[in-house]
Amino acid sequence: MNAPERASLLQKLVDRGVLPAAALDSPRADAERPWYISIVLGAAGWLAGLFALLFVSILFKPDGPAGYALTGSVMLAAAFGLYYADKDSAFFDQLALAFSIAGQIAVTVAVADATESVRATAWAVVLLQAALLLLLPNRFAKSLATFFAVIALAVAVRFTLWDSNDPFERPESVSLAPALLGWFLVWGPLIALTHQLIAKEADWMANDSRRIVRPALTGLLVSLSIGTLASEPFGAFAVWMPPEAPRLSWVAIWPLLAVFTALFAAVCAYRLGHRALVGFAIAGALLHLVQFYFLLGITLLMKSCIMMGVGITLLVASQWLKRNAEVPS
Amino acid sequence: MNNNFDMPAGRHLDRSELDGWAARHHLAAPAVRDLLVLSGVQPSAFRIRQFIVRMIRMAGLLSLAAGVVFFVAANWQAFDVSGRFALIQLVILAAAAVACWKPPPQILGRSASLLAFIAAGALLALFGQTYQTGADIYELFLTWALLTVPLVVAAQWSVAWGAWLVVLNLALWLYAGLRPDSGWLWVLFAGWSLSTATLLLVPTLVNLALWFVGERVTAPSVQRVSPRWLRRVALAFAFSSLTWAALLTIVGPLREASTVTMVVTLAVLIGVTLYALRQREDVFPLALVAGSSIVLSTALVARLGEFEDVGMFFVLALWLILSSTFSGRVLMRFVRTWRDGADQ
Repeated sequence: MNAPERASLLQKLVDRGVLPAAALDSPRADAERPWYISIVLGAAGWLAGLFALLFVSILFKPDGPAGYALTGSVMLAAAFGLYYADKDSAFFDQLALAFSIAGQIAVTVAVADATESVRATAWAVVLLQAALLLLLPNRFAKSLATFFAVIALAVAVRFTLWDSNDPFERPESVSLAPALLGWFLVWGPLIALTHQLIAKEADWMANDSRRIVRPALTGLLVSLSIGTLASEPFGAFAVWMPPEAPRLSWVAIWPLLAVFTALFAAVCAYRLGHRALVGFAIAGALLHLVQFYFLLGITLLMKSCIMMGVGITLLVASQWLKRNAEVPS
Repeated sequence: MNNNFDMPAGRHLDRSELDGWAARHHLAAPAVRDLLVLSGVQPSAFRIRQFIVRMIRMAGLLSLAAGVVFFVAANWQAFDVSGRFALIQLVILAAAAVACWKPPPQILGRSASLLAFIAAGALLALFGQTYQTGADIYELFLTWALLTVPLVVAAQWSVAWGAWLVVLNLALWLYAGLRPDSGWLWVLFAGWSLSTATLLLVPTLVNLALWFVGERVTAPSVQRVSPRWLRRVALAFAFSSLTWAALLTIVGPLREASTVTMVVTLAVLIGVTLYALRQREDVFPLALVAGSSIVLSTALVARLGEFEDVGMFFVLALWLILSSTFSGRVLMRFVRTWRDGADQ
């Protein structure tokens, strides 16, 4: 929105009594960081965090879980300090992001080392990321924390329901009902939460919770778009597995359900007027379709029949909805 | 689905600006509700429903197309070869018939053209699988991309062009990355003994050319099918190939070292920067230049720096933080300066 359009909108809001007259003289808020700049800075910060952790690991040689926990805690504390030291400094922001990433990885390594359990580590990461979401002052960091919390939650639920401790292991046999239950246990509440947050946007915008909810909503939409793939990257393209006949496992249907989650995210992003997230969600839906093709568990022929059935159902549904959508309410 | 997803009227207004107004003026929930309505950032229920209908229709179409592709890949023995061919050809014929009945730019015609495009890929795959043509995998994608150009042109749809672009890039990357000694491209380039780093300039330049056509050709037929998102995808493909090529030259084995690649890399980085600065419309190309420069300069530091492990990791972390901070500051300055113009 350019300056004249903004001034005209402000005048309209003042005339309608929504904003006080003083709003006409208020300075313009700083431009929101476009998604592509966030990706460049985020990726660089991530890589810097990995190098920083390697540097610290070689220099101080942390020993065992306690050593990594101490290293992680110090780095996270440093990240907090930097974020709060100067909220307008781009350098401090990047440095804090790198320290934060390094600290999170170190704490995760400590928990994994201490528990030797994927499930326990995943639950610990959920708690860590939830704490970071609430405590970190930076919007981008909050969105990242939400995304990682959701991914960790998906992993935690999966490993809690199916007691395996090897993320590289061939999926065990899972029948349809538990597979559907497991998937909805993770994504059902998140879908409901996202829907509620968007429906209640005006309510949380009116209080301080907007500082947490706005970036969390971005993180939620990213998670809904690519979460199923991101929470099982190794199982999706298991090319290293021996070419024996796969066991029947309806967990293979998760990516197909994730296609619909991604499309739901696209609709939510549309409601928020976030064009980049609409595109991201559509790309996520396509990626999950590719994952559905590769994921072992049910045969390609079954997948083909499912896809054709789903396709026909959706086309019929779209025609039915179109008829109802023709008259503006 | 049209080019800009038919976003709400107030889409150019950042939600952060509205958050700022709500915070600064201590607005209660009813006032925020009025703020959201009057600023036009929320689509009406009718528009949301329209969007959902488009999404479901698109998903249904792609599900059908995926079903056909999965069926061919399943190689079901109970269905003989001629039956499989007949099935896919029937899908293509039906799609072509629908496209003729409701020709593009009507949505049904566009959707049918996209379905025919995907089914054509499945048909080529089945042909290769059945007759063991010995064709390399890149040839499948390249043939698919070249043979379906008329279909994509006829579709008059940016989504169809987007799908075509992905297929074309898969073909070019598979050729440049795997370097098979067969096929059309091999015939074209075999005599020159080019390194992978040099071969990757092919997808770079092809995508750059497509981006430039979308940017500069003002004919309505081209502008209609090359919205900003598609131009950005083409440019992103170009920069991915370019960065991969330059990275191979910097840190790869000696045989990959290519002066041509480095010269082209510098020329593209400078050229795209100058173009974006002159246009003052879209910061995205500059973000790609920044991202590519950060990757390549970090690789250069790793290659040239004579540090022990511990020192190297420290220097790399510091360099990444400094270079990304600088890039972020510069890019955000352009975002602020240009925001009075086009939507970023």
